[in-house]
Amino acid sequence: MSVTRVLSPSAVGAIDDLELAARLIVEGAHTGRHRSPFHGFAAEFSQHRPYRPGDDLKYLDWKILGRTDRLYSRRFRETTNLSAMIVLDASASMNFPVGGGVKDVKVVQDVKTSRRHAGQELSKFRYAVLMAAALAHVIIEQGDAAGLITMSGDRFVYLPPKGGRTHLHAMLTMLARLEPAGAWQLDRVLARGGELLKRRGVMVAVSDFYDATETTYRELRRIGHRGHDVALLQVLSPAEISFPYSGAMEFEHLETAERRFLDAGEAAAGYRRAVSEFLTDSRAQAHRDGHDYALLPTDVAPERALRSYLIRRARASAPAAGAKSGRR
Amino acid sequence: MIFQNPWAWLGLLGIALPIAAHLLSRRPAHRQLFPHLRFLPAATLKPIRRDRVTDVALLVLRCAIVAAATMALTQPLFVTDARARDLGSQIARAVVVDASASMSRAATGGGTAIDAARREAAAAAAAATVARVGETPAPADLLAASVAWLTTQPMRRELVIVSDFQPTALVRGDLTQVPAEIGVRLVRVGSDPGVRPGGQTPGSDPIQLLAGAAERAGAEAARAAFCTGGVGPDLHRSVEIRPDPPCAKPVGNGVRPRGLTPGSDPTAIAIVFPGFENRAALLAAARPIDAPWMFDVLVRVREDRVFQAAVERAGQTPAAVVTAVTGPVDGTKRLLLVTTAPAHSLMSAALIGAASRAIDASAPASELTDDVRAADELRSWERPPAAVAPTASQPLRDQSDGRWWWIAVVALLLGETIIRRSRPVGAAPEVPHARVA
Repeated sequence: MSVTRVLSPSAVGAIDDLELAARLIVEGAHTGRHRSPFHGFAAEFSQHRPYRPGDDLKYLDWKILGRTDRLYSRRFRETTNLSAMIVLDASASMNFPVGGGVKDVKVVQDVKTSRRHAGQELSKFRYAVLMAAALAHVIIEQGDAAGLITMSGDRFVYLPPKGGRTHLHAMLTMLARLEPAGAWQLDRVLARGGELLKRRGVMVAVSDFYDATETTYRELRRIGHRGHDVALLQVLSPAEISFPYSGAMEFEHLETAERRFLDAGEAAAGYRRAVSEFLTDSRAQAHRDGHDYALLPTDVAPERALRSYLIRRARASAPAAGAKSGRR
Repeated sequence: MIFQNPWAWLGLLGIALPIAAHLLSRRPAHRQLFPHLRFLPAATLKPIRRDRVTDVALLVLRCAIVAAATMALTQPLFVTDARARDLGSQIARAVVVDASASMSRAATGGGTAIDAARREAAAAAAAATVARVGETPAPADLLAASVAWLTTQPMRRELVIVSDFQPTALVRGDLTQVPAEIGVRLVRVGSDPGVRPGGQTPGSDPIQLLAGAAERAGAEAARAAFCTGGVGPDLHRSVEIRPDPPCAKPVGNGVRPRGLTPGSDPTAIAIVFPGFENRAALLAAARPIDAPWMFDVLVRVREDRVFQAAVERAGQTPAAVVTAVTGPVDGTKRLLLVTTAPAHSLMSAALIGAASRAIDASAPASELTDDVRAADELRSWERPPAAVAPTASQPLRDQSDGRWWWIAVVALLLGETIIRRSRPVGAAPEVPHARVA
């Protein structure tokens, strides 16, 4: 516990062994055991409910029908493992350093340290990989199934949700090999990830959501309507929020290489205002659609961010889970 | 603190350079990879504003570098007590050696007076921090140059005059041109006259000496004096003042200029006094002077120190007292000095002496006298050199605290380099952002 408490984002990011990093994050997050934040759907009988047109006839309780001549459907609480699909944004826009290329940002010192140790710079993508690995670790360690899907170029790269340490190892290996590149089609990945969730589960999207469009939100709503729980984890670096630039700057888009030449000092105020509105809209949109949402600044230690998120999710989902099971 | 090179303060104008550089610099745009451009405005980069410096801290440091370098170039000097004492122990001496004819006499200790004077001058120069020695037949003529040199010396200053101090060698008025802070030391060489009865040396006034010489030459000599001697490059000839033998031939229109004895020298000068009986006829035949040597003689006569003193005593001016023309004397064109000074007057005697000195630099008659100034009189003219306070124009030689400022410049340059390298191009300090989540 004392070890994980001192881990900074860059320190964790500098650990080459992703499994070790994920375990450290998870152990750091489990400060005081709590209820699992991910609730599955049990197959154990829960209660009877008056039959409604459209109910599956296989759940009709024929014995009660024979005894009382009344139609009742049986409701079950699923006891099977949770299926979670982690959607990871591997676009080039995620390959943005934590410090935002600004030497004054304090985190850069940690980045330098991590470079010395692991030769790897902490970026948004690395932070997202750490979070995905930690989530997979949490889900699989509690006996549930976790899967991963992302895009590498134009093709999907995914692992269907499964449980077990072998699968966890495979997921971490896949995560470790991922390189951010190219553009990102979030709606396509979400759609494909939804298809891979054979039963109702949790869809966790880790991205900066710059590419989110109405199509994306429509796809997310569709996934939610299919009974999946949707969680949106928005990963941003502090430089993207505070825009600590000034003077003549030429900004180049990480994905499209488009360039824009402007006075950063003059554009800063407008940029910060626009980003603030963007984040507010993202949160509001998620809440409107009934999705879980969390902003993960990359200067926050991963285990701390994960712990805060899991605690908040556990508190928020406890009554919802009860309600869900109550509806069965 | 004093500054040995105050002109270097102009270097402060160099501060304008970093200011202008910071105002006008157009640093190349820093390329920054960024995740997205959707929140950035279109490329609307305006010209760099020139009413705002780009980096105040760096600018201040660079201005400090220029200021420190300027300070070093001014060669500042902190005047400590030790340095003040060092300054007080230094002295500059200008030694003027009288090389007039009287100095060729035998001295008391053997040898001539000029030899003794040179030894004294060498000793005085050796005892000084810096010294300059000059010899002149007229010590008073060298005073101005000596004073001018002394005033440039950044230490105590002293004027040393080594002479036998005949009455004509130096008068009290000559020392009025010596500033009060310059000390005066008078070193006598030759025989010591001792103290005469009455405390005064007879005949010490040069005017009286000349008047006496004129009286001795006879009354006729004052009516029409005649001087012979070379005029031109060779000025070291004897001067002869003759009595008035009758002239053999008439001058000009037949009037015989009685009292003029031109002799055989074509450059002989005739002085025509008001009482000369043929003055009108001589002036009627006169013409303006047209030879350069004639102008030279006229100027020398009018600027003669003794003549000027005599003229001023009479309340007149040299130009009004003496004019120059040319006239035929015994068929030869000669320079005629026409004077309004009456014969037997001091002015006439001074004019004769001035004319003699004008055509001949050899020893005048005054050099022949044995009279010298009394020791008490000389002591009253002497004064010690004043202490010199260090000022901007009188610093200590070969000393400067500029090196400390150069060290400061190097340190500032080092700091500037560190700051410049640590300051990322196009980036501002971290701005705390509000957490949205």
